[in-house]
Amino acid sequence: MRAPTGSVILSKRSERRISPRLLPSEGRRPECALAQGASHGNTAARPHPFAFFFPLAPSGAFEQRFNRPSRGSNAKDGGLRAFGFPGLAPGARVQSPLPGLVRFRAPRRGEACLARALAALALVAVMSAGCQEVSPETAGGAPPVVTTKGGVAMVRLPGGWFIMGSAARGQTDEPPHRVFVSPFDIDACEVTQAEYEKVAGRNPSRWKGGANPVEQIRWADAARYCNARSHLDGLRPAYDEKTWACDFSADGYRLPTEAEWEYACRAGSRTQFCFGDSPAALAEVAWFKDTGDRGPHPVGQKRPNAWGIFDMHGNVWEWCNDFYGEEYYASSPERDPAGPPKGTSRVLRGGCWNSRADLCRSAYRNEEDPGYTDTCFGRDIHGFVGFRCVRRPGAGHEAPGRTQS
Amino acid sequence: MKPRPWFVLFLALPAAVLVLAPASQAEQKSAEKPSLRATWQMPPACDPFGQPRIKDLKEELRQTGYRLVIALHPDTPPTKEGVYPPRDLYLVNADGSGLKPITRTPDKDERVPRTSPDGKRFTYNYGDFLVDVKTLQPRKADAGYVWTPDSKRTATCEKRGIVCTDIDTGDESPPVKVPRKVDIVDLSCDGKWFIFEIRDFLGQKYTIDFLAADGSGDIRKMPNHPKGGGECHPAFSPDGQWMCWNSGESLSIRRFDPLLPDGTDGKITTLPKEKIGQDPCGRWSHCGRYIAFVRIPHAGTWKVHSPICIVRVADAETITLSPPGLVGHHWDYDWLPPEE
Repeated sequence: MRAPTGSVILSKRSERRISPRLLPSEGRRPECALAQGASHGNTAARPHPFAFFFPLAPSGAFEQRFNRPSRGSNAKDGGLRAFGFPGLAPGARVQSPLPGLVRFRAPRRGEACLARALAALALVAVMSAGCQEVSPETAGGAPPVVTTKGGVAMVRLPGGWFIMGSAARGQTDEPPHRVFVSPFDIDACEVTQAEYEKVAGRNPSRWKGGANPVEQIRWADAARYCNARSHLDGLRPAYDEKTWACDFSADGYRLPTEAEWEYACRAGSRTQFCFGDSPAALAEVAWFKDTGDRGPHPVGQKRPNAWGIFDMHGNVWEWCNDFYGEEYYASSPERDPAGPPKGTSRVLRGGCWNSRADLCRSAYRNEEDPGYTDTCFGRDIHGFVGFRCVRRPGAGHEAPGRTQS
Repeated sequence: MKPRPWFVLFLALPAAVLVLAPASQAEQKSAEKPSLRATWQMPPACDPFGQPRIKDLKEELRQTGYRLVIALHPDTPPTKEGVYPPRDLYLVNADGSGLKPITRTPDKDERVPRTSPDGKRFTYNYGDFLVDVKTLQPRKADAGYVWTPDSKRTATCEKRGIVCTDIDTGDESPPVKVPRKVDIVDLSCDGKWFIFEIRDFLGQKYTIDFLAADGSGDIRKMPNHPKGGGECHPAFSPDGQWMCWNSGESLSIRRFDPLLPDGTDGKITTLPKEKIGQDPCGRWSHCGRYIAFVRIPHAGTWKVHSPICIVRVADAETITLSPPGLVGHHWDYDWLPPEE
């Protein structure tokens, strides 16, 4: 039974108005909505980050998130199917005659039973289809750590879906959206000065110390290091050093894509930081401005995230492979986004020892001229930018895997 | 009755004093040279090439009453990793006398002071802290270090664009979109032009560029110094008519005129490199006659004691303030008005 468009039917006796929130906020546990629908007039045309698609329904984008009593979406035909949520009877249709106003109609008892059964089936289908966000819990514990031929510890991350971005106030370039990343290995720590010097033969860092992260690094220096490290480990280099194009099919080292970086940083979290939302607790996992120290610190001294990766927040900014595009998230592919094809600046992630807490957020996107080495302006205080490497899983001849405690 | 001579003298002398004294005072006044004391007038008017008023630059600076706020590393050797102990802020008269500490925090690094256009406050640590010049009491600010002409806000270029932050309330203006993210380092006194440096831009390793503060138009590149080399740390004179910059082996000065295609008329005055040293990053005095900089020996390094100096633009005369300790040459200094 379909309610006419624009009608307000919650039950035969009552009506209820629900205020939709257009974007999810960080800091909430993932909540699923089994729904299908089409783009709402006042939202961008992209899948809603909290949407888990109902496999029995036609494809469409889930667009809106509702505070109460449930979560739902507008369907192409003006209706919405929502199942099994408190406060909204299963099978209820939702009408959205105006942006910001959503109306529910309670179904009849028979419809409700059928809908609940379908919801249960759908949940099973969704879970089995793998459209589930990946976290260490869902992935069966901490991922293995492998040691590369060159002696560097890398964490072997499973592929999976996650919500990239956030609805942080004032940030226009990080709208949340669902992204799938393929499995990859990532350095457990930022590249240290000792590691860099061993491969590149020099150490440009401002704040010297073998265990400190290498800094004052141009993007191209980082990419060149990746290639050199690939050569040393007998892998095929990923970068063309004339064009700096990245061959993602190569098994050699490269800089992480922005999506890979955030996936590795979040470790299944949806909060501002990998551990939660409180900047006050950031000092447990990060060296940043409020820890009050000058310069970066030796890597791996703070608590790692749930994947077992260290210093994803703070210490030094980390170059990503991607060009920066402010609008990129609006059009990026859902699977393995690799950034805009061209641009003037490259992405930096994670914040550094001199960054405010909000710049260390998992979703915060920084950009910088790839030639930036912070060696002139204020070079006496800088030393902000470093990097870490990733590679395809199983590349090289690493030492037998071990599980990190 | 005939008056006695001593009585006449008794009456005449005070009368003569009363009549003649104002005249002699006027004569004395006309013979006196005008005061050199700096006034910090707003809007500023600069005369970089105005003739020296006293040959002895140190004496001229003493008479101006100008002061500087500087950041000094303690006079102790660096660690084995080459890291110097944290800096503290000091006040010093422009003639080098009267060094006085402002901060005393040996475990924290205070650096890069930047005076507001009206000379009443300055920020340090790139706008993290604000100091009232009268009280010298710092407080947290969380702003930028490029002041707007009203001395109430600071401007920063974030990825969203250029944002002005009220330094007292923290209120932010809506971002002004710019063609690309840049590290703005100065704003002209009319608030219309930002200046900055970009690396590896437009085919040049270093460029000095400017951009309309309302975000309109493209980023415009100023011509490099013909000798090449540095091209960094541009600073507008307080009246916005001139700019100085580190042109590599010396300090250079030219007019800033955004109506001209290159933003300048092409004439460059480069101060003698033997007096200035390498990589000088200049900060203008309010009158535009003097520029403070740190002198690094040619083929030397900033990682040794490099003294803070002041050059008089008109005749390139320099003096060395030379306080103990290491002064960072990247704008670890700025001018303050005379003490009231």
